[in-house]
Amino acid sequence: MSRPPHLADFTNPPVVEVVLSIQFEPISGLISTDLGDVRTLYREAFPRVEEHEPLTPAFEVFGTRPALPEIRFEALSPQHLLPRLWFVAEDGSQLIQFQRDRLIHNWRKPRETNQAYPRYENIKPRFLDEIALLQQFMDRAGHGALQINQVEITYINHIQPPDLADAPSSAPEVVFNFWQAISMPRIEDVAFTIRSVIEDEGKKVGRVSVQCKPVITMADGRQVMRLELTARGKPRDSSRMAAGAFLDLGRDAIVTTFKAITTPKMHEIWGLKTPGSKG
Amino acid sequence: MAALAWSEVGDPTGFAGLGAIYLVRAEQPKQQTTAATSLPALAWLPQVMERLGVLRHLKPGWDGYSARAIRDDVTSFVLGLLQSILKPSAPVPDLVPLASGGIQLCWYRNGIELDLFVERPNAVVAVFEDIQAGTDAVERAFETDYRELARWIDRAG
Repeated sequence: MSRPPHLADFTNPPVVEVVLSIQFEPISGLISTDLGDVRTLYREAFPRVEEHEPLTPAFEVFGTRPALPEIRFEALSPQHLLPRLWFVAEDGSQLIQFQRDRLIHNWRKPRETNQAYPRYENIKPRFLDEIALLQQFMDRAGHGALQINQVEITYINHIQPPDLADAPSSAPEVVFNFWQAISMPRIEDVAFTIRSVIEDEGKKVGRVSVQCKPVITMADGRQVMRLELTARGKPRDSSRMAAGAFLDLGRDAIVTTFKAITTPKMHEIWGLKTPGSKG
Repeated sequence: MAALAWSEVGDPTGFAGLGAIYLVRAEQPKQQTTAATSLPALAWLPQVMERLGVLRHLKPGWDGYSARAIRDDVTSFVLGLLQSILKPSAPVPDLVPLASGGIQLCWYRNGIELDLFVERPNAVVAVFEDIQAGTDAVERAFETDYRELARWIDRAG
């Protein structure tokens, strides 16, 4: 697949992790002994396995106000507990997560190497193949079709303006263009959340959530601004192809939002390509 | 306020999204971030959370027959839906388990009868009847846009 020409393209984006996720109707009849079969699907490219607590379901709904992320159940009820499995690639840069109602693919920037971001155009087809493998397993085991009900895509960025290496959060106006209208002396650090609606053919289908907070990286102890952009919503139908279409829609919304809230100075640092350039 | 502190959050293996990594600035002390101070006063919330908590622990066969356990995705969806459509002072709905694993929500007030049947997330069937006005009951399915539903509930408030 090729990159849509209207999307901003950066030579050196600050992205450190990309997550593609589908949530689906819980697989009925799935029991712990089936998890070995699921592991087999991905074992060759993802040989390491770990067990984690399952994630709770999440949905975007549209009433008169958005739901508050703070109000939610923190764990699944006891009768539904099956673990979330991590299948980790040998080089540690990619991960598949599976639980009875989710399949997730993570790419992260490896700590030890300067591996370039492999780009959405390469990650998405892999994820669609992984969904197809899961569907094949469900067909063989008699679990029926995957009924995808939410799709999610997340980009996590570490931002550190080069001239503010000690305290990047202290000068938000360098990074965020909306902050340039705010005159506030001696800022120490900044955290914020923005949520906006994604529409598809005039219908509300999802939301983009932007979260910024200061963090210290585990890899090298740098203080950076952690800017996380997530698009989540309901695909047009429950199929794999519709999930792929929502991923495209969400990715479009994320890249557009990222460019809209950040400054031309940072765009220059990240190598914003001009239309028609080959850089 | 506690001194600035840094704490490790999430999995140490390095993936951040949906299962996290990083050293992040410590949260405020718990007593300073309770629902009472950081969230709007949603009068209906404590009763709804308590009732959903009960429903989440129903075991299969809870009706003495072959009822399914209440689905976790349905309870999560209902909680998000109510936040999205209820005013802070809205009347608390009755929450009734369905043998399918779904939940029925009922408001019978002020001459209004409103029932929501949530068999699975983003698939809500609503039956609305204005008894006082003597109009026929209206049945409607909702998928993602629940603004009309919010208006019906307002009439029951």
